Amino acid sequence: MSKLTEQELSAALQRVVAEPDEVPRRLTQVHQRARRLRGRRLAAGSSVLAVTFVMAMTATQLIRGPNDSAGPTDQPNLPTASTAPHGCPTTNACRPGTIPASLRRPLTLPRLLAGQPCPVSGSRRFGAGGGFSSAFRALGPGPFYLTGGGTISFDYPPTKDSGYAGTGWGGAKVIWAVDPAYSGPLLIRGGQIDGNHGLRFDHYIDSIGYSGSGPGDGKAYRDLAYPGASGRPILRTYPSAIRLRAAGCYAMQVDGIGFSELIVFRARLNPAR
Amino acid sequence: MANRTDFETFVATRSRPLLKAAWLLTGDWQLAEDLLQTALAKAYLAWGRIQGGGTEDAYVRRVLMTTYVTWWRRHWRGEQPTDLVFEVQDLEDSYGGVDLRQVVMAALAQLPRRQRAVVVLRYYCDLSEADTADSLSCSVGTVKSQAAKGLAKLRDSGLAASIEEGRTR
Repeated sequence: MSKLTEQELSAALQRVVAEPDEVPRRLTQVHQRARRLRGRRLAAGSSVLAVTFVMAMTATQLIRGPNDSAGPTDQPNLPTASTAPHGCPTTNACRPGTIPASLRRPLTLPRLLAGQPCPVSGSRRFGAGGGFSSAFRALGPGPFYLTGGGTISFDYPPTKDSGYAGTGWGGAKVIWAVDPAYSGPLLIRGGQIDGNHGLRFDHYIDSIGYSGSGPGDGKAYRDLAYPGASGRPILRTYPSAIRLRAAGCYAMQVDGIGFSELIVFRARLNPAR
Repeated sequence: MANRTDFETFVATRSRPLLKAAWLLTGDWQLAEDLLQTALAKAYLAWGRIQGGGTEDAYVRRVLMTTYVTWWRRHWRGEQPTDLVFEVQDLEDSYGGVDLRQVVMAALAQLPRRQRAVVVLRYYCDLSEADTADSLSCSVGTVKSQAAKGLAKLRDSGLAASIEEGRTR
């Protein structure tokens, strides 16, 4: 088992916490919430007095205070249970750990003719967030994106000291980003479109099939899938890895509920060392 | 009656570190704001009693922690994107940050709430065992045992391996 010292843990915690840009407005105006809190406390106190009084008058009856049905008085503004994940038409479709069968649509990748340039997908900029400490660029029409500039560099055969050694595949680390507007499940597959080489993926953090600890099992998978997320709309980011064997032009088909998108990127071999 | 100016000064100067601690507890900026807002609202009501004694920070932290420990709803992961756009920096560094963040938050999510609170107070806020115990209204012995258990669970989670891998990859 690896050692984790208190110093290492402390350093990791300090590193992962982003600096809030500014004090959120809702915190600077907390007086309003305090007044509501005080009002509820007073109401609760009045209720106790009233109930005590009434109970004294009618000892044989069970009387409930007027605030009893209101639940805990100090509950924070948490999302309600009815907050439905956007993009998940039914609860079953977004059940954790599952990918709806409807996402397994036919894989239809375009083919490039000899000499045709690689039509790398357009990109957009995201502000800092999702673990990125500064703005970043991401490729694709959305809502699923491949972060970066559109060219993946990798070693093949993989270097002996890399985590891809012995797997038969080269690899490159990537980060996926998912627009907050979509919180449903995702299925990602792909291949080379100017040749016949395959494209594989690591099953890494948060993906379906991830072993749940460390860097994963190191295998190269044909499919990569993520379950739907529940709760408030947030920018989802996933660290992952793409596995390749040859340079060229590649496309990924990303299927989600209600959409199917294509992301085209270029893969380039690192110069021999 | 609370001195509103003093309170606003406190919020302006102390909210950021408290918000970051709340984020480590909840893993979500919105929930972190909810949590801190609740703690500050409670502190505001008691401000006349606690202000001026140098214990304001400890008081808010204690309310923050006890509120967190007693929240019954599940927490959410992730953070809210911002509209602000900055210049793109070294992407490799960003990749490492995203990776480590995911690993750390996944590991923290495995801890029971009180253990997670102890880990955040001891190893992020850098509080002593006594101050941590005060923040959580428990004994120093409980802090020691919870910190040891939390650290052991984080070791089992593969966090150390991921940190090491991040160094070598």
